[in-house]
Amino acid sequence: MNVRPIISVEDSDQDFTALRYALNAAGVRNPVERCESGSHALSILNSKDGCPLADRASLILLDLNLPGVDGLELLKEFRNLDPKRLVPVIVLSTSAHPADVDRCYRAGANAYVVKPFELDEWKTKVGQLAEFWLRAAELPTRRPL
Amino acid sequence: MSEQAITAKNVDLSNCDRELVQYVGAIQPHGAMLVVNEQTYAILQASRNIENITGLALDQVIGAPIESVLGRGNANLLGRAPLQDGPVYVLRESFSETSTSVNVFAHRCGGVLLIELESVPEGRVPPTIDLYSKLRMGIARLQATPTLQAFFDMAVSQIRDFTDYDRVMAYKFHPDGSGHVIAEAKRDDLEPYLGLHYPATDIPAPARRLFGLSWLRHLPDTDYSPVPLVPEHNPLTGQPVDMSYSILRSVSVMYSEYLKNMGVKSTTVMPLMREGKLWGLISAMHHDAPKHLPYDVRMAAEFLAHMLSLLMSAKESVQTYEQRLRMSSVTDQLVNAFNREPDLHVAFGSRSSPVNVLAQVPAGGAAVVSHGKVTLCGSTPCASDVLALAAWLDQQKQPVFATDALSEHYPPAAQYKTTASGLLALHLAHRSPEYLLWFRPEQLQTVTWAGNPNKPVEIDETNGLLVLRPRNSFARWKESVLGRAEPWQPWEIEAVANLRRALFEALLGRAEEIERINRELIELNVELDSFAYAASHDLKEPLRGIHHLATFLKRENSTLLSEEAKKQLDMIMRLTRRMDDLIEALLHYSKTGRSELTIETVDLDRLLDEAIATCRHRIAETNTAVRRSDSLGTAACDSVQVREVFTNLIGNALKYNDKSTRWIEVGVEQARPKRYFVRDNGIGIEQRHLERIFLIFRRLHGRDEFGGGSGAGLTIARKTVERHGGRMWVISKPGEGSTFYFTLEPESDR
Repeated sequence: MNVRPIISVEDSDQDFTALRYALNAAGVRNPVERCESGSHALSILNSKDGCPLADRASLILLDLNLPGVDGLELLKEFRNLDPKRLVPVIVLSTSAHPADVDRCYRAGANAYVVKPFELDEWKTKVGQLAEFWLRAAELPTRRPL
Repeated sequence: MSEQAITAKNVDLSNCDRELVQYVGAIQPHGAMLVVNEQTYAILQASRNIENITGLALDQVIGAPIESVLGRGNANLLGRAPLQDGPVYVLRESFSETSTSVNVFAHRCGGVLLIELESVPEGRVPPTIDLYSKLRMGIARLQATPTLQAFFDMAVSQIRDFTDYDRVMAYKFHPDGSGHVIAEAKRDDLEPYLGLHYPATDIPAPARRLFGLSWLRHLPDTDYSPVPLVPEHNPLTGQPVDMSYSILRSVSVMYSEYLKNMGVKSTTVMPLMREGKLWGLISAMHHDAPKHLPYDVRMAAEFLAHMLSLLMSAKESVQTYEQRLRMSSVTDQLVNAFNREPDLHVAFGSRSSPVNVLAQVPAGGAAVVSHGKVTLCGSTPCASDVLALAAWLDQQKQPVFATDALSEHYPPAAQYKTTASGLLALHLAHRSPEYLLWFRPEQLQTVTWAGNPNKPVEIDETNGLLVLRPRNSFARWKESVLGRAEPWQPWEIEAVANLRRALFEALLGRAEEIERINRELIELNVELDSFAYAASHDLKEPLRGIHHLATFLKRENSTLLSEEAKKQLDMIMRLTRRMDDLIEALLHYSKTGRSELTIETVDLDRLLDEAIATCRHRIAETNTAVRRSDSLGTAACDSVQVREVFTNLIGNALKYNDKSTRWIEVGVEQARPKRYFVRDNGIGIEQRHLERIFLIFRRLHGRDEFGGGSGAGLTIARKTVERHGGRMWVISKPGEGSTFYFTLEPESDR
C-alpha cells in the first residue's frame, strides 16, 4: 500500500471534515495534507525545488469550486508540473453538470466524483476510491523511467 | 374603302357604325359650297343652292375661275391664307343680287380647295369685346372650381350663358362607347337629362371620330333638306369629296333623325379631348325653334371648349395628385402603426385608432386576414366568406389583385355582390394566407337609360320594306347593372402596391430584430444555465455542511444529548435534505425547458417497460397491480424525457393511494392525436385542485404524507409534453382515483 501523502485541495471546512471522517472510516492511514486554496496548493508544490510531484503525493483530491485559482486551472497546472501524469487527480465536485465533467477529463483528471449529500454516502464513496486507488491499483514508482 | 361603301344613300342602323359620314356629298342649306382646283383655282363643283346665295346660276359657276364669284382681290387672299389645318375665316362678302351676307371659310382637303359661304344670321351679334370679357371671366371661374364635378357644372352654365341654348350638357364616354350626362344647364321647364345613360349605338364610332376632328359642330336646323354638290363627284378624280373638316357638311340622316326624335331643333356639339382622345362632349340643344349661331359666338364657344379640354386634364391631374398625396400619407401612418404593433389585426383593424386599413383607398369596406383570423371594417362580406375568398386568392398567386366584377372571377362572390363587387387584394405573406382586402359595393344599383338601350331602332314594315329608324322614345329605361363596382383607378392600385412594399421593408427590419433577440436569448440561456449551476453549487455546499454538522453532533454526542435535542437534530437533517431536493428539482426543471429534444421514433411499450422497471421496488413495496391494456405503439419523441414522464406519473400513482387493493393502468385512447393515460384507484384530486397540481412546488398534502416529494414532478412532466407540442391534463374523482392524460403532438385543425 502506498503511504505517500494524500493532498486534498478543499476550501470548505465542512467538506474537508466529511472527507477526513470518510478516509478514517475507510481505514486509510496515509497522511493528509490540506490546501485551502488553489494558490496555497501551488506555493506548496513549487516550494520543494527539484522534487517531483510524484515523490510527494500518492493522490490529489481536488475540489472544483475554489476561491481565486479555481479547480480546473489548478488541474491544468498540476499537469504542467507532472507532464507524465504520474499522480492520479480525482476531482470532487458538487456539480453534476456534464460540461464540468467533460472539461475535467479533458484537462487530465483521472476520475470525477460528485460530492454526496449524506455523510454515510461520503463514507461509501471515499471508501470505494481508497479501495481502488490505494489498494487495488499500483501507483507509479517514485522514479520514472 | 370596303367593297361597298356605306354613305348617306344606303345607311341604316345596322350599318351606321360604318357610314362614311365625311363623303356625304351634301351640305346644310344655311350656306353654299364651292370645290376648287388647287392649281388652277377653277371651280370643279358647287352646291345646288349657289344661286340662292350668290345670284349666279350653277352653270355660270361650274368651270369658272373662283374670282368670278369672290372677285379678283378676294380670290388672291386664298393664295396667301394657311389652309392646311381646317376651315379658316377669309373674308365677309355681300351679294347684292340676293341681299345676302356671307362669311367665307376655306381649307384644303383631299387635293382640292373647299370654299364655304356661310350666310350671316339676322339679329344682333354681341361685340367681340363683350365676348372676350365673358370668356376671360369664365375661364377664371373654371380654374377656381374645387372639383371636377363643380368644373363641369360651371362649364355647362357658362356655355349656355354664351350661346343662349335651351339646354347644355356635358357628356362622358365610357370605355364601351356608351355614355352618360355628367352635368347639365337648362331652361327650368325642360325635363332634366342629368344622369341619363345612352347606349353606344346612339353615337356610333364614325360620328365619335368626326367629333374628334373639329372643335365645334353646329347644326342650326335639324329639319333641313340637304343640298347636294353638282356634279356629285369631283370631275378630275371621279371620287366623292372628303368633307371631314367642313363647316356646312350635311350630317348623317341617322343623326338628324335621332335629334328630331329627341325634340331637338338646333344643336352645337364640342368635343372634350383628353390626351389626344375623345373623352366626352359638350352638347347644346335648342328645343323650340332652329337656331343659327353667329360665327363670333361660335368662335368664343369653340375657344371655351378648347380651354375646357386643357383645364379638365389639369384639373383631373391635380385631383389625382391630391388623392395620391392623401393615400401616401395614409400608407405612412399604416406602416408606423405596424412598426408599433406587430399584430396586423390591431395595427390595421382597430376602429379606435385614427387610421385603419379602410382609409388607404376609397372603398366601402376592408378586411385584415391573418393567422386564420379576420378583422372587418366598414361594409364587407361576413368573416367566413372573407376567409373562403382569401383561400381562393391564395391560388391566384398575385401580389396585388384588382377587379370591379369579382363574381365573374369567383362565382361564390355573387352572394355578396351588393357589398363586394369590387375587390382590391394585397397579398402580404407567402406561407400563410395573409391579406389586406378592400371591397367596393355594386355600383349604381340601376342605370337610367334614355330609352330602352336594347331597342334603339324602330322597325317600320307598313310598306312591306324593312325600314330602320333611330328610336324616338327617350322615356327613362332603368336597367340593373349586376355585379359591377366602380373600377379601381391605376393610382389606387399603385397606392396599395406601395403599401405592400413599405410593409415588406418593415417586415424585413422586424426579421432582423427577431434574429438579434434570438441571438441574445441564446446567450441569456447559456448565462442562465451557468447561473443555475453556480447558484445550486453555492447553495448546496453550506447546506451539506449544516447537514453534516447535525449528523456529527448527533452521532458523537449521543450520550450527552436529551431526547428532545436529538429530535431537533433529526428535524434539521430532514429539512436540509428537503432543501437539497428542492434545489435539485429546480435545476432539473430549468434544464427541461432548455435542453434540446432528441426526436426519434420510439417504441413506447419498451419505454414503459423501462419506466416500470425503475419503479419496481415501489411497486413491490405497495403491492400494486400494474395493468397494461393495449400496445402504446410508437411515437416520435425524445425517449429519455418521455420515459421520465411515465416514471413520474407511475410514481405519483403508486404514491397517492391508500386502498388495500391497489392497481394502476397504463394505456392509450385512439383519438387524434393519441391520448396516453396512467389511471389509478388512489385518493383522487378535488376538482378545484386539478390545475394547481401542475404548479411547481405546490403540494396538496403534508410534506411527509404519501412519502413526500419535491413538488416539481408534474410540472416537469407537463413541460416535457408541451415541448413535444402535446398537452397534459387530469380527470379525477376524489376517493376513487385519477387518470392523467397526455399527448405528444399538436391537436390537428386548430
